[in-house]
Amino acid sequence: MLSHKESKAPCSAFDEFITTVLSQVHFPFDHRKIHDELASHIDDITDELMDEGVSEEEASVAAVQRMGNAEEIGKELNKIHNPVLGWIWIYSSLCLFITAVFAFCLLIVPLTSPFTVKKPINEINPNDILYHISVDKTCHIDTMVLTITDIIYDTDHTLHIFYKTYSSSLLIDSWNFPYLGTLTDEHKTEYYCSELSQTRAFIKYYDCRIRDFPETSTLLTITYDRFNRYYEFNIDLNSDTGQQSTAYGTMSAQRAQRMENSNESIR
Amino acid sequence: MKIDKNLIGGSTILILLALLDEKDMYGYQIIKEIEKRSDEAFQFREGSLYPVLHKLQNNGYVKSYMATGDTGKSRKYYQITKKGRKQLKEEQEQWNLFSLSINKVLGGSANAFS
Repeated sequence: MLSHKESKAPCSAFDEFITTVLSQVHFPFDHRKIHDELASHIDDITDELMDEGVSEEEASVAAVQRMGNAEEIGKELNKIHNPVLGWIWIYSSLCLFITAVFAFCLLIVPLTSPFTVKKPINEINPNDILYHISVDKTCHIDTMVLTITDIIYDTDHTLHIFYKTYSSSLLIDSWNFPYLGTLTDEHKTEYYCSELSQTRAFIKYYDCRIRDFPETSTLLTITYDRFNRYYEFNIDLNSDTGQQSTAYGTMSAQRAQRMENSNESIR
Repeated sequence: MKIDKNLIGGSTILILLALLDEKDMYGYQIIKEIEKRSDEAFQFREGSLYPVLHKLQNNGYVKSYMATGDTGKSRKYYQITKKGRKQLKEEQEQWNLFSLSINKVLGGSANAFS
């Protein structure tokens, strides 16, 4: 709009009018828009008057007169372009922007992790594998889903149990598997494992390692029985798929009854 | 004859919304249209249009956008919103009641329905 101002020079009346109006409007961020709109209007009147044969100089003065009292208009505009609301608007927009950036930063890690994070199973050197069983056993406890994907036995006599967990609910992690469960072989010998995990896009991948697991063992049983949640996986270490029966769920009435009975017998 | 601007005062919103209901317009265009339709009986201080337009926009009755018209100049156009149309209907009903009542008071029922 500055160019227009220059083109209609001299227009001190114009300048005075605009300056007076804007001096009443205390919210600086709307000055530009108000200036442009009023200037455009005065420009239109000036053109109209010049079309009627009025000289440019007279037209620009008369145009400003037709606009009315600059101070009154400015005061009226100030009521509408309220500085408090204006600042609140700018402040809340800024907050929203910062929140959006923040949320984006929070999401960028899970969203890019499939490209940057390796699954634990891919860390195993294929030359170290003595046997590899592809398992696909899943259980649902509350909203959490646990899937055992692979069993690998390596040359270090370490048995790796690869499993993944994720929440089927977007909002709530109602249940976190605190540990995989009790690990036993066919002789009911109990084993302990060390775990490492990686998170890729909201799915957590685990490598549960049992050191010095006997190479000749034929069965791996994973039993979880805590906090009224129960599951049991039986994995046949001799077959390629580890096909064996699986049971899971919250504690059955029968089991609960049995445990109560055993408690009584202890008493 | 020119009409006292206080008389127009109360119905400014009705006039503006009714005009914008027909098509999108910029400030100067609105003034010209009002002058033309009222045979120049309505003439206001043109600058006082903007506080009213901005208030309508604040209330959500109109929204504005920048556009280049046939003259090649970039101007701020005002467009009536759904909320504005609802308000227009209300104002029209009020106006009808008002003018009917005034006419009744001035000339009796015979005039009112003419």
